[in-house]
Amino acid sequence: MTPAVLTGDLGRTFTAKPFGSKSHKPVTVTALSHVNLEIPPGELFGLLGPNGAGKTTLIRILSTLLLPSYGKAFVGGYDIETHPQKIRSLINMVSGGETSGYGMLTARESLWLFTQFYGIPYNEAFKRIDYLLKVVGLEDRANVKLHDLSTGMRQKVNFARGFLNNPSVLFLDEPTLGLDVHIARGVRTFIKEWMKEEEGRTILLTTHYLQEAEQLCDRVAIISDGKIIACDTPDGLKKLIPGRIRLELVIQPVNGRTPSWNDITGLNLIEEKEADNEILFRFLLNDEGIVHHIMNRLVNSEARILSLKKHEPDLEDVFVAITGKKLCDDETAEPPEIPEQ
Amino acid sequence: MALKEILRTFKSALWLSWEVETNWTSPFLYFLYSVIRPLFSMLIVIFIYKVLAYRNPNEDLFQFLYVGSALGLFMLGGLGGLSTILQDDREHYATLKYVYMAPMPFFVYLAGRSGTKVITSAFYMAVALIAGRLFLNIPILQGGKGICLFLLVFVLGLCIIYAAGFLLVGISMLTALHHSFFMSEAVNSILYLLCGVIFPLSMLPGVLKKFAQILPFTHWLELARRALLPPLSLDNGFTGISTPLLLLIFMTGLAVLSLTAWGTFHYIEGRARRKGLLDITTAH
Amino acid sequence: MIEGEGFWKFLERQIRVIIARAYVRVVGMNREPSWMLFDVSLPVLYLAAYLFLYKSMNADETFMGCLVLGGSMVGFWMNVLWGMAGQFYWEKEMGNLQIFFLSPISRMSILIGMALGGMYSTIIRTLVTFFLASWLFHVPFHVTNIWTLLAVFFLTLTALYGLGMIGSSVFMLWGRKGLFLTELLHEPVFFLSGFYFPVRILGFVVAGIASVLPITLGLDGMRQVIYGGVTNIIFLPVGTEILLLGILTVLYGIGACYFLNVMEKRAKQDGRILTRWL
Repeated sequence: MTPAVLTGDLGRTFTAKPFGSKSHKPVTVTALSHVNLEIPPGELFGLLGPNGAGKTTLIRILSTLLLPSYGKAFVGGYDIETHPQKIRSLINMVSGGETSGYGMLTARESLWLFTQFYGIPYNEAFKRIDYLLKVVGLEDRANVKLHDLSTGMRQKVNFARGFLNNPSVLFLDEPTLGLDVHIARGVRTFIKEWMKEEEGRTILLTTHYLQEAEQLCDRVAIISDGKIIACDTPDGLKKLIPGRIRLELVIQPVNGRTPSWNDITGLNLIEEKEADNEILFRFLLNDEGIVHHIMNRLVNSEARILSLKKHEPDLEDVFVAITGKKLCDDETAEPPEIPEQ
Repeated sequence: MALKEILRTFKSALWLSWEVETNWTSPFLYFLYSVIRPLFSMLIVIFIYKVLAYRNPNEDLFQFLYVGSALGLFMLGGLGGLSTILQDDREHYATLKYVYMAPMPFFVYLAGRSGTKVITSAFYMAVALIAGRLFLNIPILQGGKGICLFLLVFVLGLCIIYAAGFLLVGISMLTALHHSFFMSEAVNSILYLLCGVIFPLSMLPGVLKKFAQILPFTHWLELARRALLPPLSLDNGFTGISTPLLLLIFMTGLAVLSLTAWGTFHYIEGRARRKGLLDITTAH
Repeated sequence: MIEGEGFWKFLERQIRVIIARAYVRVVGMNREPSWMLFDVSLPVLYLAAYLFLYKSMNADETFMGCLVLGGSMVGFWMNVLWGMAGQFYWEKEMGNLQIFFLSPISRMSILIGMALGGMYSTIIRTLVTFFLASWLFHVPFHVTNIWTLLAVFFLTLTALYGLGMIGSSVFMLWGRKGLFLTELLHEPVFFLSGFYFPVRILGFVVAGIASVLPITLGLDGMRQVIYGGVTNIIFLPVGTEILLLGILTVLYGIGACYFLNVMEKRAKQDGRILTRWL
């Protein structure tokens, strides 16, 4: 079976001349490095990584908008360099946060314009448009000009645009970015339903929302600094980390004595943060028995325990365990709401 | 409002405007760009004159036309540059809201933000005037006569550009992007037609001539011409009015325009806040 | 063309794209009547200033006519500059360019659609400006041969918009620099093409070089046909101009296809297709 997406040793670098610098030496930035991926048809594949990891660059290459610096990429069995037109008839893309289109056209007209790019006859085009506008909850705004719609509504129109040509391979680049809770939930539900509607449809979804990746995707690749560092099902990825339990401990040291965790077997300290005489530790534990050793150390150091929480590990832990970095520095890396199972 | 704060705001806004206008290329190319535009503008008027003068040469009219066009580059260019600045920050860069909520004088920011466009317009005028003096032997500031008056008129020119510019900036707070663009163009073309930039006011039909004669921009152009050129034998509608009197009339008009601009700007600013127009985007 | 797709299917798809893209411009104009008001009134105001200057120098009707036609045709050059050459810049800023580039369409179809839509609105503006200025300033005109006029006019437009298409491919790569260079093309082209005076005054060599701009030949040819019988303003015989405009149309058409492909490839290599500047 021909893979929906296949990349071999794919890489992309960008060079830029630093502005205002006396040196005229261009700076080279590696956006993608030796990426090897194979996505079979019918899979909802997730690409998880922080901002600047290379997710969008990969999507730009696969959607024929950017050429790679080296390596090969195929979509639907066609080479992105030699058969871009063939690929374009199979794909579509939605970038979250985008509000493209012409302000003086109505939502319905704007979508009609894009159907014409795919040669869809008028009647069929309007049937699809009306259906998609209903899906995104804009059926009553169909004849309102784009510049009279709110940003969220324009994003929804843009989301609908991605499905107009019934693409075999759809690239969704942070599709719920900036959407509010119920719209994001609706988008995720629609994505799942759309995949089920027809066999062989493939989605490559990039996100930095952990739960979105975990709950939507059949497989997830973790990308950092342009490299794919792990690729498996969400459960498979969780098995990669050295520990099945995540423990969050906050203590207040006494007389400046902090416990040492180095020699406890099966304990993996993934984060340590100190503020206002309080220290937060995040551990991954191989088994619950290790908690006993942690408590012993705390008693010996006479530290005051402020809180102790136990979690099942998630993809964030996987990411941190593999890369040694957090996926996102702030709490906004959470999706607006956990989608319904 | 402390002077230090005003200067700091003006300086940073001016720096920003300089970067926006010029950092797309090297300083040398920007200089070249700033020389080519006014020179070709002047070539157009020179050749218009050349086409028509073979039958009726009129050296005074040529000087009137040339110097008027050069002054127009400054006055209309500066005004056009200033009037679209608010829309640039609101619609394109989407920074107006942050500027507005920052603890700095908004008025001063806008003055600085449009600084490069006004300076560039003045540079265009200088290039055109110098070229006229050097290559066409137009007696611009011949023997240094009129230089003091011209410096005074130049400063007053800056004042009128900013006064009228702020009036337009104020109005543009209430309008959509494309309407602001058209408003700026409309004001420019009306002034180009009515202020005697390229032809004497005596050519205008009665009512239009009367209207043109009360516009401070017309007075400014006439004053600048009187400063730059020896007396011309053309009827520009101000024959018999002495330069000091014309200056007084102009200053009165400038004061009225400035007060109107100040009042209108603040009134509209309040309205824009009430209607939530300071951070809207109309260009999609 | 997509592999396996027949020629007629391909053509049908491209016609759909052309109609759709032209529709945006036509609808845009119809839905904003104020644009039309400004689009017509502003050129008339500028033109009026020049006409008063001409009158102040006792110019004869032929020269007044030359000015009326040139001033009316300015709209086409502005449309080609901003609505064609600079348009990909704005499409990029609006996020539309990436959609064009990931769709299975010919870029030329998008540009032809833009050109047709732009021509529609600009033809209306030009006609209104021309008749209004002729009427207000009592400038008579007499078309000697309507077919020759139409031939010169439409060949001028096709060659001019072809040039605009080349411009759009170049500016696609340049981004913000392109925008400033677009501004730079105002005055020199107004001068070299003879919008405000017959180009013959520039001399044969300069006018010959300026003839790479189709509007130069177009204006000269149309002036000959509209203000019939005038000989003192002619740069080249109108037949020669028609021939040259035909050659320019073909050259610029081929050039546009070539540059569009080359520049698209370069933009993809450099990653500049989606670089936004504002």
